[in-house]
Amino acid sequence: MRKLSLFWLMGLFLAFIMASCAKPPTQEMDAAKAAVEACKAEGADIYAKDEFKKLSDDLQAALDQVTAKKYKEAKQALIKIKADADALKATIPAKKEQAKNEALAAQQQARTALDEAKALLEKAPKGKGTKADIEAFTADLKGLEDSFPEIQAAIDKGDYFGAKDKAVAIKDKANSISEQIKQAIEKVKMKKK
Amino acid sequence: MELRARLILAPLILLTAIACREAPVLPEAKEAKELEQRLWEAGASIFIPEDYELFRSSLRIARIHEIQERGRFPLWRKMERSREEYRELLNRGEHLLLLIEEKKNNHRTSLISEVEKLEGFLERMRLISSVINESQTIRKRVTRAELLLVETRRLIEKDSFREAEKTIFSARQLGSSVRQIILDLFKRYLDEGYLSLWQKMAEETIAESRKRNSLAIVVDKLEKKLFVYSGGIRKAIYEVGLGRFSLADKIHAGDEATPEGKYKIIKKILNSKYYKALLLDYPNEDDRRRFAEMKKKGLIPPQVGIGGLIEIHGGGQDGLTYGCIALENEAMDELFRLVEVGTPVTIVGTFNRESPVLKLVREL
Repeated sequence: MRKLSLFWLMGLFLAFIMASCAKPPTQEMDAAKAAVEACKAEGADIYAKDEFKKLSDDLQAALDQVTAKKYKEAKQALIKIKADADALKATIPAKKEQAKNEALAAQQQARTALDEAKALLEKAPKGKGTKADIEAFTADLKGLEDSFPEIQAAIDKGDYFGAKDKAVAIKDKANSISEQIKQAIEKVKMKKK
Repeated sequence: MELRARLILAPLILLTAIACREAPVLPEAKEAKELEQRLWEAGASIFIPEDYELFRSSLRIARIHEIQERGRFPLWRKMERSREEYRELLNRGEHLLLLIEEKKNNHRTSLISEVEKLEGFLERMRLISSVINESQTIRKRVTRAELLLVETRRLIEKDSFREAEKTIFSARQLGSSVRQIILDLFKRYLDEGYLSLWQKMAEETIAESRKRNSLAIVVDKLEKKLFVYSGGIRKAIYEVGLGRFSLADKIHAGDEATPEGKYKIIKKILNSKYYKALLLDYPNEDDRRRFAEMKKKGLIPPQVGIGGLIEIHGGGQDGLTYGCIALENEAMDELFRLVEVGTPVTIVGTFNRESPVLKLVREL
């Protein structure tokens, strides 16, 4: 019986020693942090905001486990986070490409709207009574034309969402100038009648 | 022996059962995590960065406490303490959500008000540009500024307030540059000295018409109107078109400005390139003297002459001229019949101090 108690005590002591000597999963921590950072560097915080936020939260939760010395659980979580980060990172180029394509499409639409407005102005009756109006509309369109390179500048900087916003604004404004030109042409026609 | 073994084993089994019992999942912990997500989605990191960071670190501490508490022997676990910690966080988080909404609304309202103010400012400048011939640079820049405001409105809709502030700043800068262009163009028109001089010139011409009981013409460049007086009484008003740079006084050939001064009709041309024309005696003595002075100072290139052939002609009042005064053909017919060689023609910047355009410029 005494031998048995001694055996139990030794077992408990060994378990205590093992638990106290467990080391934090440093390697997994570094790997997970690096993977999340790499994911951010790829643009995940812009192109996959929600997924990246979840990933960052998961990383923080795993680090909290480490702080609470729950190394086993932390290690498992960190391994999963690294895998998730790698997987998310792999999806970013496609998302970027999609945003770029959308910006390019919006740029094209803006170009078309601008060209249509210019063509409409070309068709406007010239001469008596319209010269000043035509010059004013030409100046309006020149203002849009001057702003147009800003779309490409934003695309070149990788700011695809900003580029799209600019393109949409130019397209809307060009369409509104087209409407004004049409109204002016109508006015001249009415005057002639 | 069997009984003793049972007595030893029973508590052991009981202890193991207690030790293996998992603490229940805390609903408050889940709610706190969800609340943190809502705060992030609401833009806490932008609108209340310090409070949000504090909330996040408190949440982390609460989570660590929970993990530590779960690690304790079940009989010594105090999960209620963790629950209390989360509840406090939930209260704080809800308060922060309200704070973000309030901040966002204030920011949005202030940005929209700034956009509306700028839109009004640009609208006034567009109105001014629509009645002057020097509108090209103004229109170009106003359009660019308007474009920035369209972009700003889209950014505000997306709660991208920082970007919206940047585009508002650029629009404001463009607006300021247009304002300066307009003020430069209207410099003489806002100068009391010039206004008095022009008024005096117009009044003298009208008085002369009264005194001699004859015809006289006064052209107001800003109003783009030609007034015909007979015996000092206004008989007719015609809308006119002027030079591309009509707000300026004509100095030399090719400046496309309409001259200011006291002139007279020196020739009536029945078959003109522009329907019918009345040739003025530009340049007069004052014009020549000023031209010589400016040339002496090197303000006019040596090869440039003073110009001439300034006429009142037909061809439409909306069209731009090289400095002449253009009327609709029907109006030109009437005027042509009324006037004769020698009729005085006084051209001034404006003699209407209360001109709506001037009022708009003064309000800029």
